[in-house]
Amino acid sequence: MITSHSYNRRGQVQLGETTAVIIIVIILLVIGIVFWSNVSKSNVTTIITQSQELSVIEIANIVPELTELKCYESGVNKVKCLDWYKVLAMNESINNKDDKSAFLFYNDYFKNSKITIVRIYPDVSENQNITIYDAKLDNTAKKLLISIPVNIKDYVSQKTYYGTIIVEGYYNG
Amino acid sequence: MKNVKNIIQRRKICNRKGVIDVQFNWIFVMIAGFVIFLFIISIVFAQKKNADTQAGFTAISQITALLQGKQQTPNVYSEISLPRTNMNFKCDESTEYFTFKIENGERTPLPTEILFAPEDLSTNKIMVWSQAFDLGFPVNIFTYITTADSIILIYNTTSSSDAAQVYNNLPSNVTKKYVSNDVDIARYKGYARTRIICFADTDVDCPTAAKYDYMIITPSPGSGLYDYGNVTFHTKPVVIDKLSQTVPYITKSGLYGAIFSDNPQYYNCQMSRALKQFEVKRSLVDSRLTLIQDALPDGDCKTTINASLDFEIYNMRNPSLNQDNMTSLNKNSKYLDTSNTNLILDSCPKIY
Repeated sequence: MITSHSYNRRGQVQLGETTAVIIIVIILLVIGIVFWSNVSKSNVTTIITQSQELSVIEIANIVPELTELKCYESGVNKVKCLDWYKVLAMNESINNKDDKSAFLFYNDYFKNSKITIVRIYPDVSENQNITIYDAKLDNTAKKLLISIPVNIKDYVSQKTYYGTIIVEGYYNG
Repeated sequence: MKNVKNIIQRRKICNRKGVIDVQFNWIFVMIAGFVIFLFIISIVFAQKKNADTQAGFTAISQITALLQGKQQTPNVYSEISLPRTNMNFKCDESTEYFTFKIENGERTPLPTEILFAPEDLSTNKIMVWSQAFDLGFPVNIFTYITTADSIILIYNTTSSSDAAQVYNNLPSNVTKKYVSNDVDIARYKGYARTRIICFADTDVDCPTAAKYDYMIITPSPGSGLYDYGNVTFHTKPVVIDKLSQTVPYITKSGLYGAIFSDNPQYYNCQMSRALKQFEVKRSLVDSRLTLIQDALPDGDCKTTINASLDFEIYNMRNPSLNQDNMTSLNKNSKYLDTSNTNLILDSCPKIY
């Protein structure tokens, strides 16, 4: 015998089924989106880290190519050679506490980094390490260190030294 | 019998309820489906927007890298092919802040680059050329941008050597022509951008003033074309809000800066930025020569360096873009070049 109660129950069951299907579909969608957004987020983080590392490499490439530091002989720019007096002059100008114009100018080139020129061989007595630029970021930032071998020419004593440019690039990883 | 009637009546009610239930189910499913559909569509659009932003970012970073690369090497011509793109270069005269923008993307600052280009470009190929800006010592490398649908017309009726110099020093890939009258100029109307150059070395030899916008190059009397002088951006009188303006130039790179600039405001802004950079480089040369002077023993080397420091380097400080400063900068940079040659011949440390 079919009663009104059984019809009601059937209707309720059909509505319940539809609602359950829709809820399950929505839950699956939400899980998919959460998973996809996590994957995208990790991809974005990787891209940002890569681009920050690349920008440090870029700075390391710029330093030995700056005419303000490069050796210059009879119209010829020597490859991977720094003029020691240009290094000293840049150190003096950038680290001048009374006039920040040079620091601000080179900030556009060197950004968040610390650049040190080291004279290694021969005759490593005084002033062998000169930090020409330091953005002075806190130590919590991640750091990528790049070291480039160069010749360093002292045009007063006419001596050539072997040295390195150490670029420490800071970034938030 | 009564019972059977009741049952039939109840079935009729239940059938109606079933119909309502089924209809309600369909409406519910349709609304839910529509919401899910909208949601998916919104994700697709968000993705498209992200992809566009990413493509724009990639284009900007590639073009920025190419433009920055030009800053390292003087006298290099290259072409960059890209999908048809709208570019805008903006140099703010008050802040001297230089940026560029691709399509509707974010503005990208170019804080160290000195770049002369039309303010608005729509092209699929940009032509890039570079020249060193030296004033006794290297200051920067100027970058010039033009497009294939731009033309430089050099007005020359008297076979002027200045006209030949400007023509010959432009890269061969840049579209350039000699013209000698208004009819010649009219032939090149099809180009999107035309820059007409004329000279006022001995006489003013230019097209009809009322018909064309042009640039008059006036080298300073007694000096060469590429030493220093004035450039007048002449505007035909019909344009009410634009007036002809004369600006000074110095060196070959400065003159080409004016040629590749759309207007005097943009040129002034870039040259002011270049002169600010000059001051930083001058202070570096000053520090270096002072250190060398202290380290050198007494002798010819020390005397020459001392003289350069006390006269040229000192007198060149804080220049601004005006005729007097350009005259003095030109004179002092020439002295510095001579001193540098003497220092090289005497086996002394050089000025730069």
